Amino acid sequence: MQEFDLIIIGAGPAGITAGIYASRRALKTVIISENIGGQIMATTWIENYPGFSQIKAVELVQRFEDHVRHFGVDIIQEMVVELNETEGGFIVKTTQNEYKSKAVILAFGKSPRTLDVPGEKKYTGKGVSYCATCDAPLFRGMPTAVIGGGNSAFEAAHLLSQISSKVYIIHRSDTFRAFETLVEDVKNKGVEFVMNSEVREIKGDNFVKSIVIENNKTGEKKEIQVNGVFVEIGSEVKTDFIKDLVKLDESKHVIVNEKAETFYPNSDKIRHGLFAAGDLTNVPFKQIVVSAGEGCKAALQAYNYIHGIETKGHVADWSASKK
Amino acid sequence: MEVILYSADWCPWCQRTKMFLKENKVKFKEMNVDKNPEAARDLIEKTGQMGIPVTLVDGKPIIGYDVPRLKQALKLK
Repeated sequence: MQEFDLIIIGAGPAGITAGIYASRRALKTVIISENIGGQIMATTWIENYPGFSQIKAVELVQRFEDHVRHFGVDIIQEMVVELNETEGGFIVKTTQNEYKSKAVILAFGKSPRTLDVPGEKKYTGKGVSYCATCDAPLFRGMPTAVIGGGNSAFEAAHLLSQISSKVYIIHRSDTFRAFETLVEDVKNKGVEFVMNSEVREIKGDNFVKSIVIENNKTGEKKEIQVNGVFVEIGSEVKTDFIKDLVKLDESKHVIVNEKAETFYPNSDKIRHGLFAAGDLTNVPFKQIVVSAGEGCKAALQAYNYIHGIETKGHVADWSASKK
Repeated sequence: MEVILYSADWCPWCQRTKMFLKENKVKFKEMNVDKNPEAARDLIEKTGQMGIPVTLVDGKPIIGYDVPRLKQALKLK
């Protein structure tokens, strides 16, 4: 089994920044992540990261990856399925291998929320999509439905309205969270709004053919013929596999203190050696720059933990001048 | 080895896949499903997929930006 000082789970802004700081502190570090970039890759342009007034998301991610690899950190692209505490550290189990480390930083962010209805899994990639910017062109001339009522749902509907023969927005409430200008724009493009309605089933043969929706006020069910179902109902933290290790809040975010340390479940006792950073934590404002900052804190605190350094008060960190 | 990448200009994972292939000096033919509706139909028929990117390596589809599977199919280290 490969052993490290530090394993970082996740390769978004938090994980990558943690990797950069840990490697510059000479910790034997590895990042394990199914993909690189995290939720940045769900967008096209980034316009609020210092130093870049406008940069393509894919280019920023490439720069992140090049930066962390430049300092010698390997990124193992495997899916983590288990994390267990062991004597002197942790065992990280992926679908292919097991790895051991003295400390772990959880930085695997958020994942698109799923509908959890019959047919959803079966038709993912066969009509069900979580990335309109990726898959929309494949639905040219076909009727499609967007599920959700936020900005991302309306952005998807806007895009699809230029491609699909007919677009529905299916929303469980009677009001939208999206910006009014976006709602107006999409309405003017002929998109049909189906309010107070929830998807109950996705049906088809080899591909999606229809969805069954239910009006949550009247209980009335109806079937709509669509070939594409774009699920845009936000994101969620998938922390179930660590729920017995760390304290989570009611939305399943990992609770951290100001030093990115985690706690035992249902306790205020710090779980030493296990840190968390980025969108999966309870730290407010889910922004790239916030995640990067939190990743930095987690790495510096992991270094202190591994070397038995107790941090008291505010300590200046001058490592940026050393290579 | 015949490598075909089904992609679109504004699909971020397609761009990553393209970068990966270029970095590894893999010769590939790009089929833009946005500009070419026939390529979209071709993708659906050949792979049974309605999602991109898809990389066909000697006819075998690799769905998404899946580096371990790409490396395996392309026999890269």
